[in-house]
Amino acid sequence: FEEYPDEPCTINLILRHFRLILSWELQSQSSPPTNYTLWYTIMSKAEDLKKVENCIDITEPLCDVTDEWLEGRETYVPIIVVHRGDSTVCRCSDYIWPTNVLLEPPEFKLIGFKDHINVMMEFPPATYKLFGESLWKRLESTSFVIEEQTEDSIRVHKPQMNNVTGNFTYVLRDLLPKTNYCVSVYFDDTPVIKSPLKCTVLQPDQESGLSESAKVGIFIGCLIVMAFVSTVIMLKQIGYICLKDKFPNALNFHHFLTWIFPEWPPSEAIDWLEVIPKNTKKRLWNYDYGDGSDSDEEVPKTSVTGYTMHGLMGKPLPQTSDDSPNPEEPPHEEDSGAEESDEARAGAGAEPQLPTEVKAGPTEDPSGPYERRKSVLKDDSFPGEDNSSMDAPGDRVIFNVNLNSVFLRALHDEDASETISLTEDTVLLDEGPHRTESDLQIAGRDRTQLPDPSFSSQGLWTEDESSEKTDTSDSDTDAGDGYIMR
Amino acid sequence: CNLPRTHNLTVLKQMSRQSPVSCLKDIQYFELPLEKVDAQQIQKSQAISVLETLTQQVLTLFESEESRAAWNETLRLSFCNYLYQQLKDLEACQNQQVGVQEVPLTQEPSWLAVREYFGRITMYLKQKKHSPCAWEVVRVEVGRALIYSDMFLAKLSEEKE
Repeated sequence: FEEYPDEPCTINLILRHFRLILSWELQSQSSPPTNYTLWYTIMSKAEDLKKVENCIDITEPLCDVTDEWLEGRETYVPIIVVHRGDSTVCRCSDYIWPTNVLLEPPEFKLIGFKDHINVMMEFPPATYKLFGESLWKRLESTSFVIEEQTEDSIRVHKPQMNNVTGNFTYVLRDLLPKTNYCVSVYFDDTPVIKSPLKCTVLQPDQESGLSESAKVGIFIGCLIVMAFVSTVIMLKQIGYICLKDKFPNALNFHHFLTWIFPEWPPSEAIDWLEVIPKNTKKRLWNYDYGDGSDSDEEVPKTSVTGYTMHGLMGKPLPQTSDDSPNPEEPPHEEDSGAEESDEARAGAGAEPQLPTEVKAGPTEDPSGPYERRKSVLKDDSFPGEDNSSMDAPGDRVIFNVNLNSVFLRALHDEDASETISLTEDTVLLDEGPHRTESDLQIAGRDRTQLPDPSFSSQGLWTEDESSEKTDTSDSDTDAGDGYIMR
Repeated sequence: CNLPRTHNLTVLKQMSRQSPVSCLKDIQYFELPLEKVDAQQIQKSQAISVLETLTQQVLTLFESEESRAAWNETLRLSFCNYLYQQLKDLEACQNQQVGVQEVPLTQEPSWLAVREYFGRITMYLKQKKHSPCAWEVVRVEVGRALIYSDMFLAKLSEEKE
């Protein structure tokens, strides 16, 4: 190499992407070189020159010596042999201390968001082993700077980077949306080598992106709510959710208690009557005449008279029916005649039994009078005829017997009113609708005549006359006795 | 201690006047004692002692009459001023070490070993009759020594932290 002329040049050792790169620049203005070859030696070891295998006859003015120059504290003497097209050869050499390496910044990327930027840098996995202790400490002792620029301001960030390996991300915060930000990175060393600026504008799309994700969430939420509401509405229409306020009549339980416990029909009024034999009747008759002068005694007498007269009015009914043009009346007349004969027989049969019953009267139950009537009916001598005749005229027989053989007296004023109502009911049940109307008219006449004693006496006479015409000789005596006594 | 973490060798680099290729035959191994030291084993007082001795010896070498004749005067003075300021800062650090015993000579590296190292350099220059290539070899060696002493500066910085 001593024969080659020296070529003025500048040789630098550079840390580029964490690789040791030897770079040179010739200062002559002669023809451009065609290729280079790198040789080197170490000053302190007095060793022979070495040739770098991957830098023989290269065209670029740089060589990667990372694997060759690991001793950071040694002094290297690189010798670059320059070949030109005109077959001339020259040399370029210098002394190099690895610790004086120029520090180029690492590669980085920018990722912009709405209000911040992520600066992502790549560091080698094991820097210490690659460069040795001295160079590694050089890196550790040098600050790393991230410079943030806008049109009108510059901000400097110095992140802590102790033992940083692999990917490293630094976040630039509190940035303004829709603003152009430029970023540069470098090692704070002498001299400073800054990276080219990289810029990004925080676009509305990034903002809309965030809002889009929010919109998607809101949209999904709305869909869920709509599905839920529609389901509820559908179920409501079907009737699975909301029950009807108005139930059908079959399910109306307002009258539940009434349905379980039906109302009882109104109870019938029952009046108790005392039965008095004929012998006793005479005494009472005298007593009645004496009491007739008093106003207090008139009231019960009137009620008794009304009851008896109402019963006696049953006999004139056939005469009134004869006057009417209905053809059905003749059969009723025949039935009334038969009934009268039966009544006389029944009355004669009953006389011998009355004294015993009268004696036991005060001690018997209230139902006693009813039982006696039933027993009398059963003891008749003519079972066939009696049965057929007793069904229809049975009630009448009992009624008439009471009038002829006994005297009826109401026990209380209230009982008297009840008696009147019972009598009316009996009449209605025995007779048809036409006769009912006529009976009502007759009843009305009786009631209107009651206040006047004179009218009542005239009525009695009229009845006596009508009875004499229809009755036989025996019956005339009985009837006369009954009526005369009254 | 107000000291930088590394030496600034810019001026020393600019003082070069000879091509390395032409001086390859004058390359010499001077056995720098700092090459054998584990920085982790050095105490602060020992580091200060070694740095003071090294700086003083380099300053003496470049202030000699032979050096004035060999180097550009402006660059030489600039380098000497840098070394002088460094020495003052080291003395200030040493004064802060109250009650610290002097480092024994047997403990490596000692200030005595550093003085012996610079003795070998002076002898080399005499043998080479202070030729330009000899001074070039010495300039490079001094730079290497200062680079090695950076680990001592780092030690002081570590203890400072």
